[in-house]
Amino acid sequence: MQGRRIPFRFRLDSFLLTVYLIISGILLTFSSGGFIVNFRSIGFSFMSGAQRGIYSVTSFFSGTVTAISELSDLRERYDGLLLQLKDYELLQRSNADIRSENERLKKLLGFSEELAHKNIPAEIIGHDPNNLYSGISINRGARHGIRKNMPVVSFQGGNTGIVGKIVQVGRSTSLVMPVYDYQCFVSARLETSRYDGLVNGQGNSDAPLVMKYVKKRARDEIKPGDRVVASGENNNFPKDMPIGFVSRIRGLDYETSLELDVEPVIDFSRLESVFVLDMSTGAEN
Amino acid sequence: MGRVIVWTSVTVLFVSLVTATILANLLFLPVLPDLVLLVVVYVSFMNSPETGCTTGFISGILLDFLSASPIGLNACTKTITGFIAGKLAGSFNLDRILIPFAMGVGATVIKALTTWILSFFFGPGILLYKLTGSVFWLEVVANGLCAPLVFAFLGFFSGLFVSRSRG
Repeated sequence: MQGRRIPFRFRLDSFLLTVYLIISGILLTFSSGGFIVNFRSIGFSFMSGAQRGIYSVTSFFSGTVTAISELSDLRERYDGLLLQLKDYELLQRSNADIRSENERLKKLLGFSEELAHKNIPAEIIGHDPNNLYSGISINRGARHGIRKNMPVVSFQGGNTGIVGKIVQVGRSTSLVMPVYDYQCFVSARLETSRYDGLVNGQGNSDAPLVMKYVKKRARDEIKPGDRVVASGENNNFPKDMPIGFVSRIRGLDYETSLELDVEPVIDFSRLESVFVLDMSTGAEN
Repeated sequence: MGRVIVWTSVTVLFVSLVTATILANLLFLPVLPDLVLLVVVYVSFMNSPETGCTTGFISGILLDFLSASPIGLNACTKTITGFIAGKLAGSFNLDRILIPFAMGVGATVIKALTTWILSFFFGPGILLYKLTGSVFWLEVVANGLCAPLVFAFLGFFSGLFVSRSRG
């Protein structure tokens, strides 16, 4: 069997074209300073393009995954920050409360320093459980130097006023009889006209106090709004300590004296802290 | 009886402190219900006059310590109220609302009456309820309304407030 021969036909024209092109190219290369096509640049462009594609795809997926992860982290941080925000709001509120309390205490401190007598600050801890009586319990007692019949005053909204007097002293607590009690009597005087009388309560903090035994001739010199102060007789209450303001004047023809309704300076429904005064001392606080 | 008195005293001490420190500071309450009185009435009615007056006395003394009233005033009024309520023990069945309401109202009236009688003997130091004033009537209503609640609450612990001889 004779093997089959592949016929080879030299194609000179193709050969010459190739040689010419190569030579022409070499000639161009030297004559122009370089080859126009930069294979390194082409290769780099290709490879970096591929690299960029791969990076983009990779970064897309990794970015998505990271974004999901970050979203989760962000949610956690967001929740955390919300909690922190609430804490800050609470802090801000308590800060405002503290500031307000600070202001109140500053005023009380200022008032305490202004008082001419040694004073014992106290807080109200309870009220009388019996509807007919109006005792107020405070958190200071004999241990703090409180004695029976000491006057109790307070400072409220820029006004100083008489609250009452101590009627019962325990070791760490005391009972105050307020000026509005039926059994509380304060020797008083009208601040401007200087007529005196006796202020007594009606058993209820909402009802006005009554100033009795005011001379009838004082009728023309008294008007609603006049200030009633303690006369300071017997040294029971500090002289000229405000009690209230005249709200009504009553005088019957057959009576020899006037009766005045007096609105207390102190609003007992908002009373929180008081000062017990030691009248046996002067300005030594 | 001893156990009932001890538990009643503890309860009354707690109730009077709550009344003085918490209820008394609630501005919307025009008057304070006399919860101690209601406890005394319940315990007395569920036991005997002996238990009633003993618990009434102890409760009253405890209340006197907290109040600006003359010491012994509450002791006296509550002893009498406890005694009368104890006398009624077993006379009728205690329902949920009507009888407790009536007992709360009745006890307040007895308290006011006793105070009035005591004022004859002990002078102006004893303050009186005024029939024309609102305090008395408001307290009557408050005690009447609170009585069913107090009685129902104490009923849950009848083992502490009713002596075994009766329970």
